[in-house]
Amino acid sequence: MNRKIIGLMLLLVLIAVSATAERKVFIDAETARFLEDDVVHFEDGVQIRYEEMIINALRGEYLGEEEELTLEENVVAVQRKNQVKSEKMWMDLQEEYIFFSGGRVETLYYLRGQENGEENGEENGEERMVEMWSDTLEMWEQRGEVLAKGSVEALHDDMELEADEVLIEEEKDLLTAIGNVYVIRPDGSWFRAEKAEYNMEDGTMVAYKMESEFELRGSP
Amino acid sequence: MTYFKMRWKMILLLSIFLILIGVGVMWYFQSRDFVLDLGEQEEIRFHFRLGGNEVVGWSRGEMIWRIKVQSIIDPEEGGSGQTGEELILQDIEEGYFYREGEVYITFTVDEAHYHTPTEDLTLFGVRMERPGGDWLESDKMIYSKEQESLHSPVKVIGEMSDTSIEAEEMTVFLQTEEMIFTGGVQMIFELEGETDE
Repeated sequence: MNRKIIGLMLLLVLIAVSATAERKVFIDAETARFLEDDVVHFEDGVQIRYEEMIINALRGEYLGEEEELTLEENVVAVQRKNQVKSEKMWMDLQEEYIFFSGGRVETLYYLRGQENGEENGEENGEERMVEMWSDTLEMWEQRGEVLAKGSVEALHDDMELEADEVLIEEEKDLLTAIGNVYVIRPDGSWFRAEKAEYNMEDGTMVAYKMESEFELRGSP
Repeated sequence: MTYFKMRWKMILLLSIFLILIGVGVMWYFQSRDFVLDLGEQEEIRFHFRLGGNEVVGWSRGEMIWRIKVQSIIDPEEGGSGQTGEELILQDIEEGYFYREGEVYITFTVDEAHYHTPTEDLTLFGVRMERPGGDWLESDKMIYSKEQESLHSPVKVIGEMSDTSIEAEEMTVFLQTEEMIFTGGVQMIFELEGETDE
């Protein structure tokens, strides 16, 4: 009996060990400079690989103690098919939080289940994605959230959107635009609001504090 | 008269005999404990000392490196073409780099060449280790006294603070501990904690 219990416990430990993996960051570059205090500078042809993410840039810095990564100039981050282009990127590897900034941040964000062309993503040859331009972009990997700030412009399903901030919550299939929201829908109708919530699954939108009437272009 | 001549001859022969014995004894002890000092002789300002089975490199009065070695060869036609310009150190047990009087790096090496005019040291087939487990390996590494640096002009691999690294070249500035890797640098940083797969 005792042997069975011990055997079961060993099996559980084995399963627990095999279910975890060491976290590693792979950094390739033409030059790397190791300084005191666990700081590494690298430049030219920089490529970072971390879990499913590949990031290219011209130069960067890694702080070993803090597990923080900074990349600069022509930063292109790709995760599956999602892509972000910016001039600067800062990543907290412990929290799996990423902050993009510098110039206009360009984002191509494929909705859940669409990254690999699964489900209905490639119906009629089209994929469901959000294309965004913003001053900054924040990503919380674990939470599956993306927050774009500063004169945000977004395109989704032929809908054009402008706002001060746009938050995408993957788990809820929700895109929330906040502050000076201006939306032009595919049928040509448009509205302004203080806040708008767009359900990316069923395509419905709720607008709050609409400033003006809902207008249809070309309507009598 | 003959007696006095004989006595002087005996004294002279005895003196010559004693002098020869003295010279022989001195030669014997010198060959057993050969010490060669190169450079300035003022107090601790000499740069290179060859004594017993250790070779020691100095800079500004501080010991920089020390090698325990069995064979020291001064080739007649070395790479430099001049005798004494390059000494070849073979059968090396272990070597050390010092910083502020403490061992900073321990290394094993297949062969080392000491270039006397520059006091540089070239290490072939070297593995360097630091307390804590950091290590570096290279087929060739050059210690430059002037720059106080170690330079590997060929591929170098190693591990430092949970980071494995590979590069085509490397330079370490010993005073500042700055390390520069160039050419196809590949680094793998291990992060603390684990992630669920």
